[in-house]
Amino acid sequence: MADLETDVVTALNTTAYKAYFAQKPQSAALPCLVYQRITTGLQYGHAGATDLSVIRMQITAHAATYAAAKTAASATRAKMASTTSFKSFLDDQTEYIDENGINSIVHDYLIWTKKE
Amino acid sequence: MADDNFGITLKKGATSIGVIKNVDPPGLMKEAIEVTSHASTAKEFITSPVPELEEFVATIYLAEGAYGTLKTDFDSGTPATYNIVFPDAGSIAYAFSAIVRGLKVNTSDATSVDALLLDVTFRPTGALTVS
Repeated sequence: MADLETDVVTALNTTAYKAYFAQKPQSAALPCLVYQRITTGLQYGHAGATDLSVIRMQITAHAATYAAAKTAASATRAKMASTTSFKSFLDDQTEYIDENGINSIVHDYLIWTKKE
Repeated sequence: MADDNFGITLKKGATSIGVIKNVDPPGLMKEAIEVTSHASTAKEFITSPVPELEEFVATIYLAEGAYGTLKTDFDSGTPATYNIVFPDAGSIAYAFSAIVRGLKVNTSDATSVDALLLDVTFRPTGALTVS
């Protein structure tokens, strides 16, 4: 069965923004994206798990400025909406700035998919 | 030991009708006939000698391919034998004849996304066999 993360990376990766798993590498150029699966909600029938699930995928846009983080987050939202590989719904958004001054915008997407 | 309610099966003969998300099994009922008389000190009832197996609904995942077969059964109106096996320790089983009386795809609400589901309404006809 196809892998959802592969489709997410394919949808997100552009020349402007590269997507990394779980953690931004120290050497990664800003702005960039970090993705991480938070939950996998398998849909069940009485015969057991179906192949349909609702996956919460967290995608964080990191940038040197708040404006750049907003732009990266908006681009992410557009990419997630336009991909034909899966259906996603923006469920939550939070923002923070860390001790190094990196601005981050966190999006939680709910993705309905038959992929693992 | 208490039995949970996960793992119920509903089949037409030996064939699954799809991937069942929810089933509300048919109730077995008799009509209550009032026989209150002027001599009664309270209302009195007897039961009808003929029991009824009530109409029931099963909800299945639409994408699992059972719709065509169910639509054929709906169009024909021909009763078929259905079996329900409960997931209790003793595997109590129902066998009965029924027709498919209704097919309804569930509400699709863009603000509350859910799996695409199909409600199938069954009208049992005739007696229930319990084993």
